[in-house]
Amino acid sequence: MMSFSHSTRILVIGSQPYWRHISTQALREAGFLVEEYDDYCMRFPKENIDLILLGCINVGCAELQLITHLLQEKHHLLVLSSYLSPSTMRLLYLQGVDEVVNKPYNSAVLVDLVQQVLGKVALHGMSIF
Amino acid sequence: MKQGRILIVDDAETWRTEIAETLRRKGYLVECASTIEQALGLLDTALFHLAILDICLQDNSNPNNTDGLEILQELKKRKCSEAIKVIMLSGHDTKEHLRKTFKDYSVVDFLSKGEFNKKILLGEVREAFAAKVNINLGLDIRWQKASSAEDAVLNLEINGTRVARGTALHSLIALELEDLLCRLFYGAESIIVHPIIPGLSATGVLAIQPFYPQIGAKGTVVVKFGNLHKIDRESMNFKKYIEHTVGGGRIRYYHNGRSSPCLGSSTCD
Repeated sequence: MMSFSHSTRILVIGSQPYWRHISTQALREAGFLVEEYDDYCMRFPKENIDLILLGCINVGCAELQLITHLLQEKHHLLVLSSYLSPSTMRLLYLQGVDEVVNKPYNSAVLVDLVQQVLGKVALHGMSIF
Repeated sequence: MKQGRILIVDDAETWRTEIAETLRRKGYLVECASTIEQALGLLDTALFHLAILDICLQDNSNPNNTDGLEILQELKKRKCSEAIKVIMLSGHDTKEHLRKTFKDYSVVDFLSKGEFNKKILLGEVREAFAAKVNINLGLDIRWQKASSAEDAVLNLEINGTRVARGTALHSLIALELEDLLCRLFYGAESIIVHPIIPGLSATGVLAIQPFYPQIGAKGTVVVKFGNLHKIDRESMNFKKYIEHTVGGGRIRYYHNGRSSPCLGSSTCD
């Protein structure tokens, strides 16, 4: 598997403090540059972001609005939702999110997931250019 | 006007018939398969732009059957994922199947049989042809010098087999060549095609004059088609022996790729 760290910059967005904290901690320990946001203010940095993690309880209107905004800004996006139906997954894949899964609370699972998504993003970039 | 070609793969006859009838009424050319073997056989012998696939193809006697996913795998292995777009239509719309089909095989959409609606399916098919298949089915192709697509593909070597007149492969590859032109000249209204006698590389070469709406005629485009390795050899020979005699600076190479199941292509002007 490809390894990403040090210069890989990740934004973690989520309103649940506990989840946000353990996720940020785990990703920092894995060597990523991580910034965290607790609301959907849409005033995130626009450049040099390798991946955005959106953690939520479910994908509602506010989340969809944010996801649309982030995809329009051409960000790579991993959506982690506690409740996730197949129809929501379909909708998000059609919108173009890189991955959508049930929200993990295990640090190792989260880091592994992030590595996998970054790997796919890198592969996709190579196949295009 | 050429027809959009669709393959339906579903073990349930009622679904096959219903969807096929619906699509045929809208002018699509539809063929059906009920098993993975039939589907792969049709993919070998016919040309499709879009496939509508079920996942479980064993009459639900084995709910773990995923033959539909194997067809996706086979399309990927044959490097046809770009040429044949796929819509999944299945009752097995689990999260895992959604993830696999969207992320590993880039399907156009995954529709649930549980929420099936003919209008939605027709809308998805229409949208797939408009936004994903990238084929100009209305392109008017005029062959010059009493030639035809059938003549142009004679003696090409496709997957180790030489295209001979009157064979099934001959008709298929001729059809595929016209299909390829419809993809390459997506924005054109019509094209005039002049076959050129190629060198010894066994590729086909066409000089094409496209005509665009409002703009009219644009510069002649040379299209090389056939086995990708042979196209590379043909291009190499051209660069080595011919290009300098016609002024290399005027020649631009646009595209090398495989937007067609069997034929590779390269275009330049």
